[in-house]
Amino acid sequence: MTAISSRNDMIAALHEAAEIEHGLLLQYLFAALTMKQQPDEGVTPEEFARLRQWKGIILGVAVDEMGHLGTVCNLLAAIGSSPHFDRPGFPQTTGYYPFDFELLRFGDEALRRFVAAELPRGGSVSDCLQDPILKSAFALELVPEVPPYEYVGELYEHIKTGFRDLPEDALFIGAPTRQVDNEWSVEVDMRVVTGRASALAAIDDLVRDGEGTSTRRVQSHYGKFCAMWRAYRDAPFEASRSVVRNPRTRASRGGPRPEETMITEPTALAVAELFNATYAVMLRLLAQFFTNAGESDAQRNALRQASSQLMSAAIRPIAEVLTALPVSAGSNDMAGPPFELYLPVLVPPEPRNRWVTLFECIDDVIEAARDVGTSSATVARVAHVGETMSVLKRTLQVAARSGG
Amino acid sequence: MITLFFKGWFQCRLATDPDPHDERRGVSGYVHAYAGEPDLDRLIHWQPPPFSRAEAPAVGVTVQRVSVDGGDVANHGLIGARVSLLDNAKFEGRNGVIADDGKEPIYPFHLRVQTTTGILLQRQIVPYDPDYPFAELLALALQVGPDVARDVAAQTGISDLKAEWRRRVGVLQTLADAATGATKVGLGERIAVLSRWLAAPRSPSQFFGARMTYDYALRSLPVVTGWSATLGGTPAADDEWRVRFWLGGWDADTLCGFCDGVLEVPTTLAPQAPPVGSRDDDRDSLMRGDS
Repeated sequence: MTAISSRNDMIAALHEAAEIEHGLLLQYLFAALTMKQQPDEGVTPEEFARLRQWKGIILGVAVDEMGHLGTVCNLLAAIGSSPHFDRPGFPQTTGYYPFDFELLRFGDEALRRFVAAELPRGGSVSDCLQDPILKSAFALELVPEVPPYEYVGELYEHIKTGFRDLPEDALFIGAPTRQVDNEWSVEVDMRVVTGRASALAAIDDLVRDGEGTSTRRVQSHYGKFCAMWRAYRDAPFEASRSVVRNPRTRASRGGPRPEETMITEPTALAVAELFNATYAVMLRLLAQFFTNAGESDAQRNALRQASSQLMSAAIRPIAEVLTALPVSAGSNDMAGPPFELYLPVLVPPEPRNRWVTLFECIDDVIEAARDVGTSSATVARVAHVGETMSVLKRTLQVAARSGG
Repeated sequence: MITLFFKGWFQCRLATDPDPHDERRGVSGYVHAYAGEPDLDRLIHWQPPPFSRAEAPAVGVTVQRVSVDGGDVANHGLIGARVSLLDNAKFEGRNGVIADDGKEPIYPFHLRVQTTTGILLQRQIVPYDPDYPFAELLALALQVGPDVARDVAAQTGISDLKAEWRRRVGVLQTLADAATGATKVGLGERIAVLSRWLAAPRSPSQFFGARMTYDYALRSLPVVTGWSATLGGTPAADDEWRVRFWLGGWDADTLCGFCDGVLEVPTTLAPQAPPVGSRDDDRDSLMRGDS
């Protein structure tokens, strides 16, 4: 990446940052959601206690990444652009990013990648583990071309320089009312950006969360993943279910590629498609919330609450059901949440149609959850998700009717 | 009018945000099922549950006092009666989708008052909208503040939960030293969590001094058995029963809280025709024993 010298350069860099934050949080979520859920899944009580602690830490980091994605959207809004929730599908191993983006179950390989993703500038994976053997497996060094940046923090340094160098009055044309604050039901740390100083502070915050500082690494994502990786390497055990790599319901263009795994068992396929549709609803809610087309504060609050609640009330339960379903008939390997986007994340410009199309998407999820969830006892939890989604829709309908 | 004043400890082993409401072991919320413990189930137990943690208070909501037409009746036959929730009552907040924290409805709400001598009063809420039965079940308010905290402390006998936790850690450590297997691991987990909470400026101890208030009208067909006119008139068949109570004093370690409430049962002076059966087809038992 060359120096950022225009608004469009900045938008492009922030889109890249949004895709990285989004992609990382999904990889973290995937790994956490593949972890064993019951003490009777072939682990000792001590191992279960340990894996639960790790799962909690990874989910916490994923929540941080949600906040980072929101902050990047605030940066985009501050310079007069739109939020960016689209991203390439998994797996993403083409060198588009300086490290591989794949959905991997919790284990040594996933942890190694997590450490790589959060590496402080100038660091190496072996610094974390002090194990030189691992260096050859370090994804950074497999990228065929010299990447434009090698560390996430380096990308943010480019962005920071751009914010410092571009004329402030001309750059920050976004309405302050489009900024999103921290009022979420989970502890999401999202920074409001109204000018150069707050933009620079927001970027510092993103980098500090990820790589920490030279004197404070332990509480950073990098520090947490290093500690987890070392503990796991010292006493390894099967902490995750046997979930396949990069599960998909549809082959990628030109695929399926070797690193993709097609879900073919009918129930697993139906639940995976339901998962993707629910994930799309969540992004759709976020997109409508972040792009205000005249919605009232109450309506926007309902959108925000719904998107946040979906994570616990739908995304995670459906994903956990998936990891108990065989990926193909007779297989011992399990399916997992594919996080596929069948369509771009777009919202109509007409205020009324934003609600109409949103409710159509939610209705599809409710109907599919009811159909799939009543098909067998093993997926009954999915039907319960559908019931909860019906209540969520009811609340949104009340908000929609309240007028904007 | 017969008024029953009831109170006592309840238990509810439920996952908390941001865990899914039906999470069974607990991960990212503050409630975990520790090693050796059964899954979390969200059931609200007003009577002794099948499993309790060491050092938990004795669960049991009972009638402590009875008044008839405003006057207290000593030695009333319902004093000491057990007050229970039937049909697997749960808090149905569902991660805020149905209700915010502190406003969670109890669903279903089917109340039973029963003595060991065979007197039984039983009635439930019939939702106006069966497709959305939660509207009239939401908590009225989440009460906080010094006055509330003082009342909770007075009722529970615990004025400083953190001091109680510190004492408890010592007891649990002794138990852990003597335990083996999953029990030992579970006690270790619990001690670690309690120690972390004790060291943190903010912890779930903050919930202890708060309480959720409820006011429910029970309008299903009542079930009354073992009744005697000496108890104070006859329960009126057509009038709703009103139950008002609060749930508070939440001890996030034992997963127990305190319940304090009142059940108002309108009565008539003269015995009247038995009410018409319950939805459970329990008609035969209605008013059985009525003198």
